[in-house]
Amino acid sequence: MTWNRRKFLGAATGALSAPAVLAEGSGKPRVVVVGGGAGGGTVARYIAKDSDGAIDVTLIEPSQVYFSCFFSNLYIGGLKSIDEIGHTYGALAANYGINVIHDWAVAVDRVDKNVTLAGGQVLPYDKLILSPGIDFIEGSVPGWDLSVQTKMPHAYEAGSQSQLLRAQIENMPEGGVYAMVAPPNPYRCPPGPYERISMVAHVLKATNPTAKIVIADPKPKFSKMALFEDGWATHYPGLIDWIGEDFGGGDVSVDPDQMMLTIDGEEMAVDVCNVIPAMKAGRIAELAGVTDGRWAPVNSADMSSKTDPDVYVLGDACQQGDMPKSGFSANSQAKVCANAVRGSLTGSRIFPPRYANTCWSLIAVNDGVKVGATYEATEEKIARVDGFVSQVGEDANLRKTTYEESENWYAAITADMFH
Amino acid sequence: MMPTKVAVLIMRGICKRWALKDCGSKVRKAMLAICACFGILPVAGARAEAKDGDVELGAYLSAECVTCHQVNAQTEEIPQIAGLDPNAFMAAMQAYKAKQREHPIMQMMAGRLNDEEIVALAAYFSTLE
Repeated sequence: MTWNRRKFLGAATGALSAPAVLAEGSGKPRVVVVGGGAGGGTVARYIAKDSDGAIDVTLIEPSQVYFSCFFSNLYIGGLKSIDEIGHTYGALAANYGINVIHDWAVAVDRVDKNVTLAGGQVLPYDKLILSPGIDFIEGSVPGWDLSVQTKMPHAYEAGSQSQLLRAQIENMPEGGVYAMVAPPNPYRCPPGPYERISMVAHVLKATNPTAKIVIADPKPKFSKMALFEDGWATHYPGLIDWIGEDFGGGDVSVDPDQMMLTIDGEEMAVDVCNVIPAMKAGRIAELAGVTDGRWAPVNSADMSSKTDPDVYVLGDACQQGDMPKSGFSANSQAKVCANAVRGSLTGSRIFPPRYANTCWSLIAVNDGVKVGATYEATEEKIARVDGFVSQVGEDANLRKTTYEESENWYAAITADMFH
Repeated sequence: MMPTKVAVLIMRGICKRWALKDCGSKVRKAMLAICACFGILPVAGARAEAKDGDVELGAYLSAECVTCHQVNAQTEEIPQIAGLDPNAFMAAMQAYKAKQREHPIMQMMAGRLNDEEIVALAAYFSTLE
């Protein structure tokens, strides 16, 4: 069954007839958002903006500066500065009155409906929205844990890790080896590891042309595979060796002290080892008790948790169906969630959900590709409706336009999240 | 009819016509302001269809657009939508929907909008300057 206008008018009528929940103190309903990325930043901004002061919105985010994972590969490739992918939260406070608290959420009490921060503060909520991104599964790559991320960076949470990986690549010896351990499905940003390989190849081709790139991949295929393989053959012939599941790419261990990588029983010395482990929902989702396995299942209509109707989970951390884990997806989910949460708290109109995603990737300078889809809410999941993907053999002008389009998108989505 | 009433009617006609013309934002804003003084809503002509749109629905739907189209900034490859002529906006969306205009993302996004939703979007964007 798909959600249609009639069903949502019904839902909206229900919301109108139900009393809005009022928190103690301010007299306004309170929404607490945990995580200030593409999901959390967007949902906080939309609820505050559209409710025009009728809802108290608090955003909990430990970092003062958000470095976007999307476009961080372009920083590694030397095409963007670190400042260009960094964003602050001041405008959310100044423009919309959002209470931005830079702290860690460490506990959720779903009975008394409050969130405890590392600093000891306890925040009551009427609606809680979790958008904590990902954590890594320790032990998923034998020999690797967070204590060795300075030797073998993941760079899959952008910022200092991105800077570390870029520095390591710049300092590789002539003819050295960059290795990547790619993650198993599902994971954040499906084309991300392969865009990164492209950007590393772009750097090495110019600065260290005898170097080699090795990818150990537990998957038999990957996002935009034909496009990347065609681009790698065109721009970086002989530089990249992809070892997929069929050739033992999933049988991997690392020794950070010796800078050794073992693939399918064969040891190799590496100069840079970019380990991107298996992923799960950010820890606070598990602490809140809304996960089932690695992720937090949600209802497709409004992103509410299948465990608790007053808790919502957005972005990479949720298990929703067909949407890829991407910043675009999180932003799209946040808007549906914001409309539903505002409606349930203030009686404003609730419209049918609609979701979309587009992922751009850069293979080489001015060689951009993209994949996208629209989605609808069914009873079972968020289901794919329609889509497109760039084609092998497109002309150079189209690829350049696609890259420039991605830069325009970046400016728009970050404004949509933070301004 | 009193001469003052005649004058008001003439002024209304002039302002309404100019407010709807593509005559530069300063002139148009001035005419809109004069229209407001006379209690005139300049929704005839080019805005006839958009005026029937559900602005609140349009605002909700527009959230999808602004992921790529900045509200207040023009970029090279992705144009600003706010302030577009409503008829031009609706024609463009129908052309993408019918795949008569090229762009895979826009064809996909417009492809699932029904006529009511396109009018609602036009109505909403026409409220933005």
